[in-house]
Amino acid sequence: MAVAAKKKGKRTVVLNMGPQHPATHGVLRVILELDGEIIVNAEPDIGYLHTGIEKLSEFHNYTQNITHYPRMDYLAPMNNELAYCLAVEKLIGLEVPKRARYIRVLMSELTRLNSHLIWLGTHALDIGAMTVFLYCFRERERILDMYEAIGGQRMMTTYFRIGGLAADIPDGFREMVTSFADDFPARLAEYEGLLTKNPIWLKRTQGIGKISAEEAVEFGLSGPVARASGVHWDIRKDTPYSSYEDFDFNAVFGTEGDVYERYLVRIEEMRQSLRIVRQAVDNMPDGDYSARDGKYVPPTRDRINASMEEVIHHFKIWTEGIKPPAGEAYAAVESGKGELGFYIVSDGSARAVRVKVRPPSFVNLSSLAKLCKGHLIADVVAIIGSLDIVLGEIDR
Amino acid sequence: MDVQTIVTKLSERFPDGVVETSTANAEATVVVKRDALKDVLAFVKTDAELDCDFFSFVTAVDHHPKVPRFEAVYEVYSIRLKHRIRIKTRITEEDARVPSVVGVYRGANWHEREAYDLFGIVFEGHPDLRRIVLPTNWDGHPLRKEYSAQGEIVWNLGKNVLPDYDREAEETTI
Amino acid sequence: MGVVDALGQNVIVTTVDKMVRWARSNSIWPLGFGLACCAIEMMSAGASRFDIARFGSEVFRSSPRQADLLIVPGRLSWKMAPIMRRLWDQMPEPKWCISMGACASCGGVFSTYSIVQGVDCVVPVDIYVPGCPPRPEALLDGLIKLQEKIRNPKADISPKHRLGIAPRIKV
Repeated sequence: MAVAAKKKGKRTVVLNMGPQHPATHGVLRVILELDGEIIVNAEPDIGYLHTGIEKLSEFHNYTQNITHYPRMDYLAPMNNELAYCLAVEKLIGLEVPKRARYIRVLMSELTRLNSHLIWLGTHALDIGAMTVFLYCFRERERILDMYEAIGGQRMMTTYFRIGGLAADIPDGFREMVTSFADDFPARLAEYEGLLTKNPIWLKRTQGIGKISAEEAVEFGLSGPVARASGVHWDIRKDTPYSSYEDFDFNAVFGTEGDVYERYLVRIEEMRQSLRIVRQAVDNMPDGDYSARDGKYVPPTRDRINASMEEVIHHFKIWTEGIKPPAGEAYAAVESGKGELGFYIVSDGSARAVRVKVRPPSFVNLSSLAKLCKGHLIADVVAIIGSLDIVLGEIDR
Repeated sequence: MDVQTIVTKLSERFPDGVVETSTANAEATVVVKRDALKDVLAFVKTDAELDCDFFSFVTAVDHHPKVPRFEAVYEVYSIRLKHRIRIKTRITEEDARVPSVVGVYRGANWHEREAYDLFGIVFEGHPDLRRIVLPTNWDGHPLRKEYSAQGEIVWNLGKNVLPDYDREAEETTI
Repeated sequence: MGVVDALGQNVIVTTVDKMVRWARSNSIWPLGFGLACCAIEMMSAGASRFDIARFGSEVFRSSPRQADLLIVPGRLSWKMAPIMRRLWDQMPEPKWCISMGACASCGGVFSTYSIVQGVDCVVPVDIYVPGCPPRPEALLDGLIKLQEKIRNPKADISPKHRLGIAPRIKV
């Protein structure tokens, strides 16, 4: 929908890139102010997917809340669950067993692959390379098969729980992951062969949407967008969580800060994620899949049958809900898009006082005006794709 | 820098400004007076030992029925030194205003708009304070405790959902 | 539906009508309208493994003027509702609507102030596909049921819910 207007004496056209658009990655509205075809200002208008998840979190108990968060960043569902569980475990002071931590890392990295594959597919589709979209979804189906094996559901598994996991990994899962990890590098080489040295791709992405490292930090950008500009920050390396310090991988940095650099950074991140996945499967320790603190983790059936105390814990957890001690905690993870954090304030009751989600895409999108200025309309699509935003997370 | 050192450094630098400190859960938290807020944030950004250049978020917490009711929470991170600091300030319901820190941290822009939208706290000095996630003609601030999760008013029914094509046809000029 | 609407109930047009309905049901082109998580499963339904194109939905049109079917995948917020209504109005007849997922059908997990508790408050819905998110196969099942509905309009005994704007009960 385009409405031409004379704006305050300047000859600019206001173009609405509406909430329904094939390339806005969800219900994002961008109000473009154009001088001919050059962009003078690009203002995002968000809120078309506002769900009130933060409000709803105050009405459900801590375990029920886990179901809300995979629906926020729906492209990388398990990352959200991980950040929330880490924040609650920090509040409680609960130690998660090593096996559970390794499985969490494994699933987080598979989730990062999931997120980056969709990013690549939709980004390439927007710029015009439709084959890559279909290829990426083919890989993604294999990851979704793994999700289904482990959590019962293709996307919103709610597999991570407070204290560990909902269940242990099933038989045959490690073989599934290993066979995927064996096939994937060849596939990734295929995508790179299609795009990385493609002259059309280079023309559409090099020099577009540049941002320097200082400006990236000033805007609060995080994740691959900031790393491509040269900000040396990866939460998995700098403030490791959930046993990431045991894994050998490289954090990927760029220098140029344009769309092409972000593409290269994410492709390399996929390779590094695959390294972590292989290490997690090979070095998986034996042990329990969840902490066994009866006050915060529901006891298993065999424990309930054996002990009266566990029966009481079971009863209290399922009727009242778990009650972390009063206080507040903030836990951040490196999601595929940046720093995803949960700030939880508790008053000692079964319901949180406040659950604040710090979404990376929300902050990354605020820099859109800076990135788009001076470019052409077609570049807006490339820039939005390179920011890798997901509206569920932005609007919550 | 470890959390106790951070907290001690801030309380020594701003003896009147800092009201309360805490190192619970291995996190450095200081509660400051509203007037000292901008100075504290400028200090944590520019001081060489704290060097908190990354602005994580600003939000509000509603502690109804406690008084003061609201708490504005600022979280900053140092990329070089790898530590986080949380700065809070308490504000009452009648005087729900906080100075905007967009001049210090540019990344606070959208976060402050969201806190205004959902809590009704006015950030003085913000360049463009308007609703961000809710429609512009929404009434009320949903994340306040008295607002029910299902919503209080029926915002729909015709006038907000069904577009008025006749009026638009009259008004549109090409 | 079909030629009958234009030319009236007439024995001359019954076979032509049947052919037109058959043709319409086998080439339903959805609008590229994605709201939330269900949109990703809709994209998976369009990708190679589940392939919605073999059911006739060869392309997802970007413009509502060229689309037959509005699939509503994901939670609809009150801010988005007028826009979706406008898109629905811009689609030319004959048009159909599939409400995909729990959030579109009834508000789903999100019983909140900003989510429309069922898109049938805003547009009339023909098929409801449950799930959170529904598997692509469930969406294809819904599409097949819609195709059957198009081919036998008389067999459709469910009341066609014409813009029932449900009042919000104050809780």
